[in-house]
Amino acid sequence: MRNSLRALGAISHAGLALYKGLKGFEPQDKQSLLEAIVQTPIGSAYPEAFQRWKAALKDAVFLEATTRTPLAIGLGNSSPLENGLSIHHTYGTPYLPGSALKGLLRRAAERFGLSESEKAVLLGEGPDPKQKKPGNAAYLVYWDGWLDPASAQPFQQDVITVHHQEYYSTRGQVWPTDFDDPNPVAFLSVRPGVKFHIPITCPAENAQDWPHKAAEMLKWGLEHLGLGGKTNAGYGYFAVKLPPKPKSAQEEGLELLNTYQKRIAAIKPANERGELDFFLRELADKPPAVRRPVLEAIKKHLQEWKVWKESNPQHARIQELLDL
Amino acid sequence: MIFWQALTPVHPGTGQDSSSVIDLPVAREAATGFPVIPASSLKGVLRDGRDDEQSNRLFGSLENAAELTLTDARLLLLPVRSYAGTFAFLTCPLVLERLKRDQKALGLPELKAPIPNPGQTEALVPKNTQIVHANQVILEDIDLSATVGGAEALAQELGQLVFGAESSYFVGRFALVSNEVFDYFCEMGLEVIARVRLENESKTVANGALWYEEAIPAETVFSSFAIGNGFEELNRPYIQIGGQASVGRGLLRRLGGE
Repeated sequence: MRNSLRALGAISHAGLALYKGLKGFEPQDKQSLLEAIVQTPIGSAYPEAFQRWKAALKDAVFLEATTRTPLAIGLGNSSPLENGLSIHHTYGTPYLPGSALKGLLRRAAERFGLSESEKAVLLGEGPDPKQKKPGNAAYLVYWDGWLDPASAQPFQQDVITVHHQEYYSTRGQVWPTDFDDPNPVAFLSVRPGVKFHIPITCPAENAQDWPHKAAEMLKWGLEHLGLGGKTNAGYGYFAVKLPPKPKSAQEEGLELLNTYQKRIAAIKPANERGELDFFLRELADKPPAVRRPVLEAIKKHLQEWKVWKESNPQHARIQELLDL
Repeated sequence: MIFWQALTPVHPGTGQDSSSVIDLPVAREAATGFPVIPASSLKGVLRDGRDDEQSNRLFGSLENAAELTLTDARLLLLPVRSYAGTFAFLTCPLVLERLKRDQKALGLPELKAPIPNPGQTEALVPKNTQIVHANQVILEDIDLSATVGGAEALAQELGQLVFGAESSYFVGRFALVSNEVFDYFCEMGLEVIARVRLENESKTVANGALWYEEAIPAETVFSSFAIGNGFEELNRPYIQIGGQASVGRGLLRRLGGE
């Protein structure tokens, strides 16, 4: 740390503090640096930036993932403390890199037994030089997961203690003993109870089932496989809330049919004209896939009843809507 | 004139391996070394793979050249991590002179505020600033002495031009620095993202599967020009551009434009 900064208390950017803020290399210097980072609230720019980001991705499927255990992701990023953390370059907030989420999904996909072609859509595939097949990119976009702006102080101090340094560094050449000096290493992690928002989008129209499918698998991965480092020591597990899955057009159509079932069965010569008027008015603006089951039921009813005639303008209109 | 603001890091790749520690660098202008989004990328994203008659006319085909002319999206404001205020929006006289020259060439109203020349160790900031601590603007590896109020008119005008109603978000973080300081941050201050590939079974990093990607950080603002009239394609509020798209890079928001 430069002399001019020694007096500076709270550093507004956690990433900058972590990478450039170390005063010296004594253990107490590390300790005080981590303390300062943990106590620094996230910057004032972030809530506004978060809203802009969320508005830009309004069509995405958003997962809400809350850490149940500490999270240590990006430990390998170089830092003066030797253990880094994924911290957003501009805002200094912890975040979940999209590449890590996509990698986790790839592992989860193994468990879900997806076919090769399903994996190609979700994750993309590399080129195959033998069959001269070019690779293709994934059809979905896994965005970085952003911190919920309400989580004002997301960091915590953490420590990992190496008990048998020589044993590890010589790869087992030296035996571990009870007389080895433990070596505590301080590092930064994300504390439990911190919420992240993870968007997944699919640029193709009429393919919104895919991001929902990916979200379900990612939920399973985040809850059971863990994200980031030290997952075998209980780090990186989440509680995930999925967005409500929109009903498919078929489901909506069947529900609509259910509500009208009795009314259709009750169509009689006496009320036919009025009832058909009602249904044509109700259904005209509904999407074709939604209104189809009801129209088909009416047609069937009229046919069973042997009054279905193409020359009847109302019947012709029903057929026209079915053919669209 | 259109301004684009990066909402996520942008990686307009060079498609080339570099000889430095960064495995995947971003595209830069040859003369200045400023990161840039090439016009061909912008044009390709706006065309979106369409091949109908209208797109052929707008974007060109093998038979005829395009009616629409787009320029590279040039760097206008670079976010740099700051000890106070989280980050600063930096720009320099060279960038602004260039913007002014382009505005003139295209017959658009020019920037009116004078463009002062900050010294090598100086940062000019407006009166209402969040990035000054003890008379200094402290960025990454460089301390600059702050001249508060030195860029008042410029900050207000740029804020209105680029951010409109969100102007105050920008003004509080704006700093005009010398060309050399700006150049340094373009070279050294971009985001570097470490990527790894893990072995599925052992969950350890696969052999040789660590690489470093460079990205233009979120919040960066670019300016580009579109010449031609009435092109709805340019009215899209958001586009996604550049490499590593499936892990969420390159989301741009459109700002202003006339």
